[in-house]
Amino acid sequence: MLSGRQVSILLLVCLLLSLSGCWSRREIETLGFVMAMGIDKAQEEGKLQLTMLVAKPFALGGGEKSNPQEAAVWIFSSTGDTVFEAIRNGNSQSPRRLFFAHNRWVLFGEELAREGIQQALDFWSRDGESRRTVHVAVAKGTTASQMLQTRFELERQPSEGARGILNNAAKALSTVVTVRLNEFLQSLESPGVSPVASRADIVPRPKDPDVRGEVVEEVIGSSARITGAAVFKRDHLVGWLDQSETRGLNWVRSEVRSALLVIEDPGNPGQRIGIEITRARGQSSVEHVDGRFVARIKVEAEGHLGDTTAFVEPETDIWELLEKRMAQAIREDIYAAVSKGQKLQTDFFGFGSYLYRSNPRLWSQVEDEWQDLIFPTMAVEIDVRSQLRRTGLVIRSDKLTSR
Amino acid sequence: MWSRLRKLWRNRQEEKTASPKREETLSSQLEANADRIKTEFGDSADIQIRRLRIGRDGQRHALLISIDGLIDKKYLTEAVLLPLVQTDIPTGSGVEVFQYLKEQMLAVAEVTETDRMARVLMALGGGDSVLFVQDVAKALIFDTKGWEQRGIEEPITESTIRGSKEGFVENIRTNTALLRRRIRSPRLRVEEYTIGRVSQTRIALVYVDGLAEERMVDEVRRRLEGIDVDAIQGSGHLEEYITDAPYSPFPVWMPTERPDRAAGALLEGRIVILIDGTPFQLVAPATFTMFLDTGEDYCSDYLIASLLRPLRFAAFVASLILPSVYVAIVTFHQEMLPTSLILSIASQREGVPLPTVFEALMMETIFEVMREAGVRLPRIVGTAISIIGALVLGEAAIRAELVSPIMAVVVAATGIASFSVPIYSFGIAPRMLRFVFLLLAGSLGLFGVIVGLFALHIHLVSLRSLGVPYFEPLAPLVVSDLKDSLIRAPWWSMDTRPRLVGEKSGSRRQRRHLRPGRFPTERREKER
Repeated sequence: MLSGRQVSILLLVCLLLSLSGCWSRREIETLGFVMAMGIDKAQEEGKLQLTMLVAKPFALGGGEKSNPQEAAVWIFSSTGDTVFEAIRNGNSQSPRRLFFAHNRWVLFGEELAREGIQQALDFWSRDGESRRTVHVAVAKGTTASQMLQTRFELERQPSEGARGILNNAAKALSTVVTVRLNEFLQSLESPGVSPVASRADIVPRPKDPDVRGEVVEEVIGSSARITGAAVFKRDHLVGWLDQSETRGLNWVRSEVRSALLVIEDPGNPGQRIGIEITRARGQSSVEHVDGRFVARIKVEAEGHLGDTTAFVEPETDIWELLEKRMAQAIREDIYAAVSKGQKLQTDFFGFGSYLYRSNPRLWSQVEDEWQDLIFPTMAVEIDVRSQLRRTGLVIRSDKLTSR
Repeated sequence: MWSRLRKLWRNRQEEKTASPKREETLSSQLEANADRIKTEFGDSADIQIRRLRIGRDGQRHALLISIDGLIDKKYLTEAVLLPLVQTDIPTGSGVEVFQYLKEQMLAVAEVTETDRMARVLMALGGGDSVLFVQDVAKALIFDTKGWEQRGIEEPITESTIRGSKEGFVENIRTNTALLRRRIRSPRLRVEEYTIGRVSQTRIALVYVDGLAEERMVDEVRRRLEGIDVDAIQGSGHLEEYITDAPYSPFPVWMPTERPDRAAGALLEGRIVILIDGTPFQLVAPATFTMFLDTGEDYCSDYLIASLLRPLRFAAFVASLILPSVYVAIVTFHQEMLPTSLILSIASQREGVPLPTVFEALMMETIFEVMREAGVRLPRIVGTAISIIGALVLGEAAIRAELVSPIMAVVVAATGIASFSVPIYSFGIAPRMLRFVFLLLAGSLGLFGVIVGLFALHIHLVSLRSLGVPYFEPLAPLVVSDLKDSLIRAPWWSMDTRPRLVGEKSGSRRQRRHLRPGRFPTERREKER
């Protein structure tokens, strides 16, 4: 059989195994799953306050064991000089080890965001446990800890509720930006582009009515609305984009998946037509002409007629007019976004990074004054090609004959 | 160490079975022979000694000896006793009478003559009858075997829906006939061996001449001839003496109850060993993928067979590592599951006192105990066990929060997966290794599972069955044989024999024109 030598080699190999691998066994029920985390300035000068949303598994699934009245999350906060210290301090309040691999959100309070978030971000890029796929958002006009106390309908986990709204709005409206930590860190680091983040506002939450409209729950809580975008310059929050400005940014970044544009009916003044965008593509370039920089934005959009408030009979001339107005609406979105960016002196479109890639030598000359001087004054040409494809299941509107 | 033990054992056996000596001859005295036989069998109750006076005149004494229960009495009476007693026998010397009896009088198909005591004793044990004639130092042996035996029934462990319903039985002669009926060519060779000093078990080495590699047949002959033991009790017993991998949990001889499977293997150039006394016969060389085939694969549609084989393979893998992967993910890699799933698992683990790995070990052990209890009990009680075990115990354990529901799901899924491995003796390996993998997963996480899989894979590819690599045709890759591995290609496309087994006459099974759309008649018309 085996000789003594062979046995000892075998044993050595077995010992080798214990040097490597995952010697960090932790039972699942000893973990506190952090679902979202908010970062604010602490009351104490110079410190950070961390607010964490920890899922309560026993309040969730489990069928008979679960209690629908019980809140599905536990919210608590801790402070520290750095994010890491605040997390470790948080472990003194939590009976379960805080576990960040399933974290969905990193939310910054407006006050902290305006002062800069570089120091708060460092931990997330170093730590191996948390993912770079977490969403980055800024709470407008409030603190992150306030924002994390809001509730959502249909989802018991606020983090999932917020994520659902974000995804849904991105798919249907394109009036939000979906920014993951990885993209945020990348645009923070790359030359010529400023980062943006999702923007969250607190709105009053309506009373809970039952099906007959009678109020069941009197307490009015608050809910979060996720829409628009938070605009940074380097790591400082400098301003906000509203819905159409955000859509304008998405046209340029080619991130419009679907959207709804409302334009005026060319045949019936005062009446409106809703156009569903089904496909859109945006391209931008920066050219240096006669000592001046010109940004050229090219957008191709396709859509179909979604609904109308008046009677529409699609004839060729009306159709062309509709397409023109559709292009005009898109152009207006983009203008709004560009002028906001120029006003805030921050190039979140990434025109600078385009220049950096296409003409690095020129970029190195203008790099220092790009954000403050060149971008705010540069000319922007917008070329929109729009096409209306279909009218839905009917060609013309149903006519009311009994009038 | 092993060989030393075996040698020791062999020496002891030789002392025990010293008598009778091979050279001992028969006596011409009837009573001397009778006494000798009686002492050899120790006056056993089932020895029947019939003293006769043969011929109508009743001049000559004779002895007819047989063992009750092994012989067909009616046949013995009609074919031997009646002619002996009722017909005239020419007078002459004892030897002349003896020759007359042997050659002209007795209407028995198989008669042999011997003068050795050892031969007589063996014949009696095998169900033959022996006739001694006064003054002749020889004996006549008649084949009068006839004992109670099971008829040919449907194989229990390998039943099929569309395939043949015949299964091997315990009688080796019936089994050789079952094979001959499927392969009528005279090239089917049956070599018989008698192995076991005491049991004298009949064993047949079956192969098709011209298809089976001679070196392979020689090797099996060599291994069979090397066996020197008291008894061979069945195919599992024999397998341990002739296997290529005595320390492996994986079988390299495939046991089968199905004659059509054995015949199929013979036609591919494989070797079959039939053992008297068991319906399970051995096939080799056997490869990994063969153990995941069923007889059904070859007689049902090739599409469904090709879909079921990967499914069975997946079930095999699941029966090996499903609980350990679950344990590894839940205790080491919580980041690997989707958030909603991990929260659901966490909520089910809430309140369970045992660590996940012990929970899994406990559940798997209980499952094995239930399985063992259910198999050993009579069928009616067996159902009760499964109801108590699965329904009452499982449900109560979950309600008492001793185990989490998802663990019950994992263990049950593993159990079901292990039942879909078609060959029982092959399913045993994952059954045992599952526990090793659980310990690896509980201590090292997925890394441990991967280490285990690597080690297992190294072991599997190093196994050989009669010199054929166990993982053939996957490793070494034999492209043409992939047609009958994890898929089962249409019969008309499998036009070569397995390369490493039937290489010798690898040419053809199906003419090319038998492929669909090119029927011979059609072709002939075109040519005209």
